Amino acid sequence: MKPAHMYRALLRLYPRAFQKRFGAEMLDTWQQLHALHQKTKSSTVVFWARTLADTFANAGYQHITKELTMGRVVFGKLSVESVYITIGILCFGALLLPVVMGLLEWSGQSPMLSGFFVLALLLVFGLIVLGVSNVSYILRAPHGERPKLRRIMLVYAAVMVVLFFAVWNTQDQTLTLLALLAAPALTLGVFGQPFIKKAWVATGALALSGLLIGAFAAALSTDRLDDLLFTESGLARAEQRMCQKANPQDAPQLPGGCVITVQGAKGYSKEIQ
Amino acid sequence: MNKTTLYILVALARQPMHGYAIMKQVGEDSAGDVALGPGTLYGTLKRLLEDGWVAEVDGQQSDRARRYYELTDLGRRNLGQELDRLRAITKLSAQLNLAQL
Repeated sequence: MKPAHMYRALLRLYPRAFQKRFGAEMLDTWQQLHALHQKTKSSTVVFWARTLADTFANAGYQHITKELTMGRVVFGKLSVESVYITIGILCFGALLLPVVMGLLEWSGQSPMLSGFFVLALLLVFGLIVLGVSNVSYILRAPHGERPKLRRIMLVYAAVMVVLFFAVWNTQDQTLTLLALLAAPALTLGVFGQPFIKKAWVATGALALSGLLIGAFAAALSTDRLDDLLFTESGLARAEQRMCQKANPQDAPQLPGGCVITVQGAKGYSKEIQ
Repeated sequence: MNKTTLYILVALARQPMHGYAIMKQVGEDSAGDVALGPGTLYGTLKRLLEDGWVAEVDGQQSDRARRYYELTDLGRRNLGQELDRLRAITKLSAQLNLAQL
Protein backbone atom coordinates (compact mmCIF):
# COMPACT_ATOMS: atom_id res chain seq x y z
CA MET A 1 0.00 0.00 0.00
CA LYS A 2 1.35 3.42 -0.95
CA PRO A 3 1.88 5.93 1.88
CA ALA A 4 -0.67 8.34 0.36
CA HIS A 5 -3.27 5.55 0.38
CA MET A 6 -2.51 4.89 4.03
CA TYR A 7 -2.99 8.56 4.90
CA ARG A 8 -6.19 8.65 2.83
CA ALA A 9 -7.44 5.72 4.93
CA LEU A 10 -6.53 7.59 8.13
CA LEU A 11 -8.54 10.59 6.94
CA ARG A 12 -11.65 8.43 7.19
CA LEU A 13 -11.36 8.75 10.96
CA TYR A 14 -12.50 12.38 10.74
CA PRO A 15 -16.22 13.29 10.71
CA ARG A 16 -17.70 13.06 7.23
CA ALA A 17 -18.36 16.80 6.88
CA PHE A 18 -14.78 17.62 7.92
CA GLN A 19 -13.40 15.07 5.42
CA LYS A 20 -15.50 16.54 2.64
CA ARG A 21 -14.39 20.10 3.32
CA PHE A 22 -10.71 19.61 4.18
CA GLY A 23 -9.83 16.03 3.11
CA ALA A 24 -8.33 16.88 -0.31
CA GLU A 25 -6.29 19.76 1.15
CA MET A 26 -5.04 17.65 4.05
CA LEU A 27 -3.93 14.89 1.70
CA ASP A 28 -2.12 17.42 -0.52
CA THR A 29 -0.42 19.01 2.50
CA TRP A 30 0.56 15.63 3.91
CA GLN A 31 2.01 14.54 0.52
CA GLN A 32 4.22 17.62 0.51
CA LEU A 33 5.32 16.86 4.06
CA HIS A 34 6.04 13.27 3.03
CA ALA A 35 8.07 14.42 0.01
CA LEU A 36 10.12 16.65 2.33
CA HIS A 37 10.61 13.74 4.73
CA GLN A 38 11.91 11.53 1.90
CA LYS A 39 14.18 14.29 0.66
CA THR A 40 15.70 14.92 4.10
CA LYS A 41 15.79 11.19 4.92
CA SER A 42 14.51 11.80 8.44
CA SER A 43 13.31 8.90 10.57
CA THR A 44 10.31 7.11 9.04
CA VAL A 45 9.19 5.87 12.45
CA VAL A 46 9.13 9.41 13.86
CA PHE A 47 7.33 10.72 10.76
CA TRP A 48 4.57 8.11 11.00
CA ALA A 49 4.33 8.42 14.77
CA ARG A 50 3.69 12.16 14.33
CA THR A 51 1.16 11.50 11.57
CA LEU A 52 -0.73 8.98 13.70
CA ALA A 53 -0.68 11.18 16.80
CA ASP A 54 -1.88 14.19 14.79
CA THR A 55 -4.67 12.16 13.17
CA PHE A 56 -5.95 10.41 16.30
CA ALA A 57 -5.88 13.54 18.47
CA ASN A 58 -7.52 15.81 15.93
CA ALA A 59 -10.06 13.31 14.55
CA GLY A 60 -11.15 12.67 18.16
CA TYR A 61 -11.38 16.38 18.83
CA GLN A 62 -13.44 16.98 15.68
CA HIS A 63 -15.88 14.22 16.69
CA ILE A 64 -16.20 15.66 20.21
CA THR A 65 -16.80 19.21 18.97
CA LYS A 66 -19.32 17.84 16.46
CA GLU A 67 -21.24 16.13 19.28
CA LEU A 68 -20.89 19.20 21.44
CA THR A 69 -22.41 21.34 18.71
CA MET A 70 -25.40 18.98 18.68
CA GLY A 71 -25.52 19.16 22.49
CA ARG A 72 -25.49 22.94 22.37
CA VAL A 73 -28.53 22.98 20.11
CA VAL A 74 -30.40 21.03 22.78
CA PHE A 75 -28.90 22.35 26.01
CA GLY A 76 -27.65 25.82 25.13
CA LYS A 77 -24.05 26.86 25.46
CA LEU A 78 -22.85 24.63 28.27
CA SER A 79 -19.32 23.87 29.29
CA VAL A 80 -17.79 20.78 27.73
CA GLU A 81 -17.44 19.15 31.15
CA SER A 82 -21.06 19.62 32.15
CA VAL A 83 -22.42 17.99 28.99
CA TYR A 84 -20.14 14.96 29.22
CA ILE A 85 -20.43 14.52 32.99
CA THR A 86 -24.23 14.58 32.73
CA ILE A 87 -24.36 12.20 29.78
CA GLY A 88 -21.87 9.94 31.58
CA ILE A 89 -23.91 9.88 34.77
CA LEU A 90 -27.13 9.18 32.93
CA CYS A 91 -25.60 6.41 30.79
CA PHE A 92 -23.66 4.86 33.67
CA GLY A 93 -26.72 5.15 35.90
CA ALA A 94 -28.92 3.53 33.28
CA LEU A 95 -26.48 0.60 33.11
CA LEU A 96 -26.28 0.41 36.88
CA LEU A 97 -30.01 0.65 37.44
CA PRO A 98 -30.89 -3.02 36.84
CA VAL A 99 -28.02 -4.10 39.12
CA VAL A 100 -29.15 -1.79 41.95
CA MET A 101 -32.76 -2.86 41.55
CA GLY A 102 -31.76 -6.54 41.59
CA LEU A 103 -29.70 -6.08 44.75
CA LEU A 104 -32.53 -4.22 46.47
CA GLU A 105 -35.00 -6.94 45.51
CA TRP A 106 -32.59 -9.64 46.68
CA SER A 107 -31.89 -7.96 50.02
CA GLY A 108 -35.55 -7.17 50.59
CA GLN A 109 -34.53 -3.79 51.98
CA SER A 110 -36.68 -1.59 49.82
CA PRO A 111 -39.49 -3.49 48.18
CA MET A 112 -41.32 -0.30 47.20
CA LEU A 113 -38.46 1.35 45.37
CA SER A 114 -39.69 1.58 41.80
CA GLY A 115 -37.40 1.84 38.79
CA PHE A 116 -38.85 5.18 37.86
CA PHE A 117 -38.11 6.61 41.30
CA VAL A 118 -34.44 5.62 40.95
CA LEU A 119 -34.42 7.11 37.45
CA ALA A 120 -35.92 10.35 38.82
CA LEU A 121 -33.22 10.45 41.51
CA LEU A 122 -30.62 9.92 38.81
CA LEU A 123 -32.06 12.78 36.77
CA VAL A 124 -32.06 15.10 39.77
CA PHE A 125 -28.45 14.09 40.54
CA GLY A 126 -27.51 14.75 36.90
CA LEU A 127 -29.13 18.19 37.07
CA ILE A 128 -27.24 19.03 40.26
CA VAL A 129 -23.95 18.10 38.58
CA LEU A 130 -25.01 20.15 35.56
CA GLY A 131 -25.67 23.13 37.83
CA VAL A 132 -22.37 22.78 39.70
CA SER A 133 -20.30 22.44 36.55
CA ASN A 134 -22.05 25.47 35.09
CA VAL A 135 -20.95 27.49 38.10
CA SER A 136 -17.40 26.78 36.96
CA TYR A 137 -18.40 27.99 33.50
CA ILE A 138 -19.76 31.21 34.99
CA LEU A 139 -16.55 31.73 36.96
CA ARG A 140 -14.63 31.47 33.70
CA ALA A 141 -17.01 33.83 31.85
CA PRO A 142 -15.82 37.31 30.83
CA HIS A 143 -15.97 39.82 33.71
CA GLY A 144 -18.69 41.91 32.06
CA GLU A 145 -21.10 38.97 31.98
CA ARG A 146 -20.49 37.72 35.52
CA PRO A 147 -22.87 39.92 37.59
CA LYS A 148 -25.78 39.03 35.31
CA LEU A 149 -24.87 35.33 35.43
CA ARG A 150 -24.53 35.41 39.24
CA ARG A 151 -28.01 36.92 39.60
CA ILE A 152 -29.42 34.22 37.33
CA MET A 153 -27.62 31.52 39.35
CA LEU A 154 -28.93 32.91 42.67
CA VAL A 155 -32.53 32.93 41.45
CA TYR A 156 -32.06 29.47 39.97
CA ALA A 157 -30.57 28.07 43.20
CA ALA A 158 -33.36 29.63 45.31
CA VAL A 159 -36.10 28.17 43.12
CA MET A 160 -34.40 24.76 43.05
CA VAL A 161 -34.22 24.72 46.88
CA VAL A 162 -37.94 25.55 47.10
CA LEU A 163 -38.75 22.82 44.57
CA PHE A 164 -36.60 20.32 46.44
CA PHE A 165 -38.35 20.98 49.77
CA ALA A 166 -41.72 20.90 48.02
CA VAL A 167 -40.97 17.42 46.65
CA TRP A 168 -39.51 16.23 49.94
CA ASN A 169 -42.29 17.38 52.25
CA THR A 170 -45.50 17.37 50.33
CA GLN A 171 -47.99 14.55 50.06
CA ASP A 172 -49.76 16.46 47.33
CA GLN A 173 -48.97 14.62 44.15
CA THR A 174 -49.96 17.49 41.85
CA LEU A 175 -47.47 19.79 43.52
CA THR A 176 -44.80 17.11 43.42
CA LEU A 177 -45.46 16.44 39.77
CA LEU A 178 -45.26 20.14 38.99
CA ALA A 179 -41.98 20.42 40.89
CA LEU A 180 -40.54 17.38 39.09
CA LEU A 181 -41.48 18.89 35.76
CA ALA A 182 -40.35 22.38 36.68
CA ALA A 183 -36.82 21.38 37.81
CA PRO A 184 -35.44 20.12 34.47
CA ALA A 185 -37.43 22.70 32.49
CA LEU A 186 -36.01 25.46 34.66
CA THR A 187 -32.47 24.10 34.31
CA LEU A 188 -32.78 23.99 30.55
CA GLY A 189 -34.31 27.46 30.45
CA VAL A 190 -31.71 29.02 32.72
CA PHE A 191 -28.66 27.41 31.14
CA GLY A 192 -29.96 27.47 27.60
CA GLN A 193 -31.38 30.95 27.27
CA PRO A 194 -28.77 33.42 28.51
CA PHE A 195 -25.73 32.01 26.73
CA ILE A 196 -27.04 30.88 23.40
CA LYS A 197 -26.88 33.33 20.52
CA LYS A 198 -30.06 32.11 18.87
CA ALA A 199 -32.52 32.42 21.74
CA TRP A 200 -35.29 30.80 19.73
CA VAL A 201 -33.33 27.51 19.63
CA ALA A 202 -33.17 27.41 23.43
CA THR A 203 -36.82 28.44 23.68
CA GLY A 204 -37.79 25.72 21.19
CA ALA A 205 -35.73 23.13 23.08
CA LEU A 206 -37.34 24.23 26.31
CA ALA A 207 -40.85 24.01 24.87
CA LEU A 208 -40.10 20.61 23.30
CA SER A 209 -38.60 19.21 26.49
CA GLY A 210 -41.60 20.52 28.43
CA LEU A 211 -43.94 18.78 26.01
CA LEU A 212 -41.96 15.53 26.16
CA ILE A 213 -41.75 15.55 29.94
CA GLY A 214 -45.45 16.37 30.14
CA ALA A 215 -46.34 13.56 27.74
CA PHE A 216 -44.12 11.17 29.68
CA ALA A 217 -45.78 12.12 32.96
CA ALA A 218 -49.22 11.83 31.44
CA ALA A 219 -48.39 8.37 30.13
CA LEU A 220 -47.75 7.25 33.69
CA SER A 221 -50.91 6.42 35.51
CA THR A 222 -51.78 8.14 38.78
CA ASP A 223 -51.24 4.80 40.53
CA ARG A 224 -47.70 4.61 39.30
CA LEU A 225 -46.99 8.17 40.42
CA ASP A 226 -48.43 7.36 43.82
CA ASP A 227 -46.06 4.42 44.10
CA LEU A 228 -42.99 6.27 43.10
CA LEU A 229 -43.69 9.36 45.17
CA PHE A 230 -44.68 7.41 48.32
CA THR A 231 -47.99 9.18 48.82
CA GLU A 232 -50.57 7.69 51.21
CA SER A 233 -52.62 6.09 48.44
CA GLY A 234 -49.45 4.73 46.85
CA LEU A 235 -48.40 3.11 50.11
CA ALA A 236 -51.86 1.59 50.58
CA ARG A 237 -51.69 0.05 47.13
CA ALA A 238 -48.19 -1.29 47.72
CA GLU A 239 -49.34 -2.80 51.01
CA GLN A 240 -52.21 -4.44 49.21
CA ARG A 241 -49.89 -5.92 46.59
CA MET A 242 -47.56 -7.28 49.27
CA CYS A 243 -50.43 -8.80 51.15
CA GLN A 244 -51.60 -10.47 47.96
CA LYS A 245 -48.13 -11.85 47.42
CA ALA A 246 -47.84 -13.11 51.01
CA ASN A 247 -51.35 -14.52 51.27
CA PRO A 248 -52.87 -15.11 47.85
CA GLN A 249 -55.96 -16.75 49.38
CA ASP A 250 -56.82 -13.54 51.27
CA ALA A 251 -56.56 -11.32 48.23
CA PRO A 252 -60.31 -10.78 47.73
CA GLN A 253 -60.72 -9.38 51.25
CA LEU A 254 -57.84 -6.94 50.99
CA PRO A 255 -56.91 -4.53 52.45
CA GLY A 256 -56.80 -5.79 56.02
CA GLY A 257 -56.41 -9.49 55.28
CA CYS A 258 -52.86 -9.95 56.56
CA VAL A 259 -50.19 -8.50 58.81
CA ILE A 260 -47.21 -6.97 57.12
CA THR A 261 -44.70 -4.20 57.70
CA VAL A 262 -44.00 -1.79 54.90
CA GLN A 263 -40.77 0.18 54.77
CA GLY A 264 -40.64 3.24 52.50
CA ALA A 265 -37.58 5.09 51.25
CA LYS A 266 -38.29 8.10 53.50
CA GLY A 267 -38.18 5.89 56.58
CA TYR A 268 -41.95 5.53 56.45
CA SER A 269 -42.92 2.34 58.25
CA LYS A 270 -46.39 0.97 58.76
CA GLU A 271 -47.90 -2.25 60.11
CA ILE A 272 -51.27 -3.28 58.75
CA GLN A 273 -53.65 -5.97 59.94
CA MET B 1 -5.69 32.47 22.10
CA ASN B 2 -3.33 29.48 22.02
CA LYS B 3 0.15 29.42 20.53
CA THR B 4 -0.84 27.54 17.37
CA THR B 5 -3.64 29.96 16.53
CA LEU B 6 -1.40 32.95 17.16
CA TYR B 7 1.35 31.66 14.84
CA ILE B 8 -1.17 30.81 12.10
CA LEU B 9 -2.67 34.31 12.28
CA VAL B 10 0.79 35.88 12.21
CA ALA B 11 1.68 33.80 9.12
CA LEU B 12 -1.52 34.86 7.34
CA ALA B 13 -0.99 38.51 8.28
CA ARG B 14 1.82 38.61 5.67
CA GLN B 15 -0.13 37.37 2.66
CA PRO B 16 -2.75 34.78 1.64
CA MET B 17 -1.32 31.26 1.90
CA HIS B 18 -2.30 27.64 1.35
CA GLY B 19 -2.04 24.97 4.04
CA TYR B 20 1.50 23.73 3.41
CA ALA B 21 2.85 27.31 3.13
CA ILE B 22 1.23 28.18 6.48
CA MET B 23 2.80 25.08 8.02
CA LYS B 24 6.27 25.98 6.75
CA GLN B 25 5.91 29.64 7.82
CA VAL B 26 4.80 28.67 11.33
CA GLY B 27 7.79 26.29 11.60
CA GLU B 28 10.17 29.11 10.60
CA ASP B 29 8.52 31.79 12.77
CA SER B 30 8.63 29.60 15.86
CA ALA B 31 12.14 28.31 15.09
CA GLY B 32 10.80 24.77 15.00
CA ASP B 33 9.00 25.09 18.33
CA VAL B 34 5.54 24.67 16.76
CA ALA B 35 5.42 21.69 14.38
CA LEU B 36 1.94 21.57 12.90
CA GLY B 37 0.43 18.39 11.51
CA PRO B 38 -2.33 18.58 8.88
CA GLY B 39 -4.97 17.68 11.50
CA THR B 40 -3.99 20.49 13.85
CA LEU B 41 -3.63 23.00 11.02
CA TYR B 42 -6.98 22.32 9.35
CA GLY B 43 -8.78 21.89 12.68
CA THR B 44 -7.61 25.38 13.66
CA LEU B 45 -8.41 26.81 10.22
CA LYS B 46 -11.92 25.36 10.45
CA ARG B 47 -12.50 27.18 13.75
CA LEU B 48 -11.02 30.42 12.41
CA LEU B 49 -13.22 30.20 9.30
CA GLU B 50 -16.31 29.62 11.46
CA ASP B 51 -15.44 32.58 13.70
CA GLY B 52 -14.87 34.80 10.67
CA TRP B 53 -11.22 35.55 11.46
CA VAL B 54 -9.98 33.90 8.27
CA ALA B 55 -11.59 33.64 4.83
CA GLU B 56 -10.91 31.57 1.77
CA VAL B 57 -9.46 33.52 -1.15
CA ASP B 58 -11.54 33.43 -4.31
CA GLY B 59 -9.54 33.23 -7.48
CA GLN B 60 -7.74 31.08 -9.99
CA GLN B 61 -4.85 30.28 -7.68
CA SER B 62 -7.23 28.39 -5.35
CA ASP B 63 -8.30 24.86 -6.28
CA ARG B 64 -9.96 22.09 -4.29
CA ALA B 65 -6.70 20.53 -3.10
CA ARG B 66 -4.85 23.79 -2.52
CA ARG B 67 -7.02 26.59 -1.22
CA TYR B 68 -5.61 29.92 -0.16
CA TYR B 69 -6.62 31.59 3.06
CA GLU B 70 -6.35 35.21 4.22
CA LEU B 71 -7.02 37.22 7.36
CA THR B 72 -10.32 39.10 7.51
CA ASP B 73 -10.64 42.56 9.08
CA LEU B 74 -11.99 40.92 12.23
CA GLY B 75 -9.05 38.50 12.33
CA ARG B 76 -6.58 41.33 11.81
CA ARG B 77 -8.21 43.38 14.60
CA ASN B 78 -8.18 40.45 17.03
CA LEU B 79 -4.57 39.60 16.18
CA GLY B 80 -3.64 43.25 16.82
CA GLN B 81 -5.34 43.15 20.25
CA GLU B 82 -3.56 39.91 21.15
CA LEU B 83 -0.18 41.33 20.11
CA ASP B 84 -0.88 44.51 22.16
CA ARG B 85 -1.60 42.31 25.16
CA LEU B 86 1.65 40.37 24.65
CA ARG B 87 3.59 43.62 24.27
CA ALA B 88 2.09 44.94 27.53
CA ILE B 89 3.07 41.74 29.37
CA THR B 90 6.58 41.87 27.91
CA LYS B 91 6.89 45.52 28.99
CA LEU B 92 5.64 44.70 32.47
CA SER B 93 8.05 41.79 32.84
CA ALA B 94 10.92 44.05 31.78
CA GLN B 95 9.86 46.67 34.36
CA LEU B 96 9.73 44.02 37.07
CA ASN B 97 13.08 42.68 35.92
CA LEU B 98 11.67 39.20 35.33
CA ALA B 99 13.87 38.47 32.34
CA GLN B 100 16.11 36.13 34.34
CA LEU B 101 13.20 33.80 35.22
